[in-house]
Amino acid sequence: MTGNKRLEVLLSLVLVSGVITSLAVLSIALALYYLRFGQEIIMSDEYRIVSGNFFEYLPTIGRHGFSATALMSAGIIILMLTPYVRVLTSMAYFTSERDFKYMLITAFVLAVLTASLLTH
Amino acid sequence: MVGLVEVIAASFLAGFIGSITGLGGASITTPLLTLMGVPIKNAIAAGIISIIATSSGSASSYVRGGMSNLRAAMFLEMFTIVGAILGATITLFVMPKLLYFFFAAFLLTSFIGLRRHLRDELPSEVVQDKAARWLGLTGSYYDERLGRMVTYKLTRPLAAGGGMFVAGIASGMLGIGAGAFKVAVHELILKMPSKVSSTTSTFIMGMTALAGASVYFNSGLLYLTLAAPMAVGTTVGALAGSRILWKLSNRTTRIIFLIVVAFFIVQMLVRGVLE
Repeated sequence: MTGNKRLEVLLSLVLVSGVITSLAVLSIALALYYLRFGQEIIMSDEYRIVSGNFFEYLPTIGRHGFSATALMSAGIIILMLTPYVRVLTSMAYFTSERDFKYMLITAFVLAVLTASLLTH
Repeated sequence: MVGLVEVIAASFLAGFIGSITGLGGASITTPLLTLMGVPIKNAIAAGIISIIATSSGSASSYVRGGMSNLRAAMFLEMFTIVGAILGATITLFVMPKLLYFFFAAFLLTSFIGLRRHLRDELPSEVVQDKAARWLGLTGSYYDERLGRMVTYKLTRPLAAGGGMFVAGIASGMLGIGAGAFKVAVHELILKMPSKVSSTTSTFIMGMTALAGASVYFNSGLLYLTLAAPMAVGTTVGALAGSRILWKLSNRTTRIIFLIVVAFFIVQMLVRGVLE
């Protein structure tokens, strides 16, 4: 397998597994929600994300137990982690290939995203 | 107020069209939801989350098929994410009415840029500049319709980076993928073949959307009950769309693109005036 092909397969795997997992979790969440509340889209604080930042929010998901709310949060989190893991994987790949130009480029992207997720 | 099933259905349709054109589903769902009574800032925050899903879902199959230029994408992402963070920060503070006009104005730029080039199937005789050679920006892909491998060279990545910064601002600010604009930058500045440009744009979109989403995350604008159905609807719609893209010619994807862009310019102008 040529270098590019390997990266393509790796990133494709990251993306597809992230999206499928998230989609599955969100679908179950929506089904549970629909059974309980029907058609209505509730916009109350229970369904609003309010948190210090992304990484502080992660451990709080379990608080609602196995509920539509907890599953919706988990699905959204998995979704947001998908590109994050994608850039981590790319950086690891370029590091192992000793491709320093692209290692720096992906490191910059990772640093900016991490900083923004930590400070907002 | 809009119901759950309507949101899922609208998102599915948006994801499908967004995937074929490289526009991204939220440029369509965001206006639709505001029309259905969702406040524009909430629609934007949920829209940007759903773009992560649309983009990653479609991109996974394009990437595997060797359709996207990954190196160009990773270089350009440096610019889009910084733009997206800036754009999302602007939206937190700006008057909602203005967002409709920004939406229309933004779509207009991509429409003008592409119309001229409707006849060119593939860019020819591209001379690379220094930066493009340094970054190793070349590529090849199998064009199913032409029935052969197409190799291409890209040029002017720094100018394209500037364009992508603007695309990032729009993306973060309006909660859209800004695919229209990204595709225009890829084709007009980088000289990317049309099919590579829309798939590369889709690939970049997920990262750009995450940067924007990072700003909206704790803003209090993000409702799970909007983001979840939008994410599911757009992803499934986009996956369906990506199955079809392979069979369409560059010309067909462009024509669909032009019609969709024109439609939304009118729609957002009307909304802005009525607001």
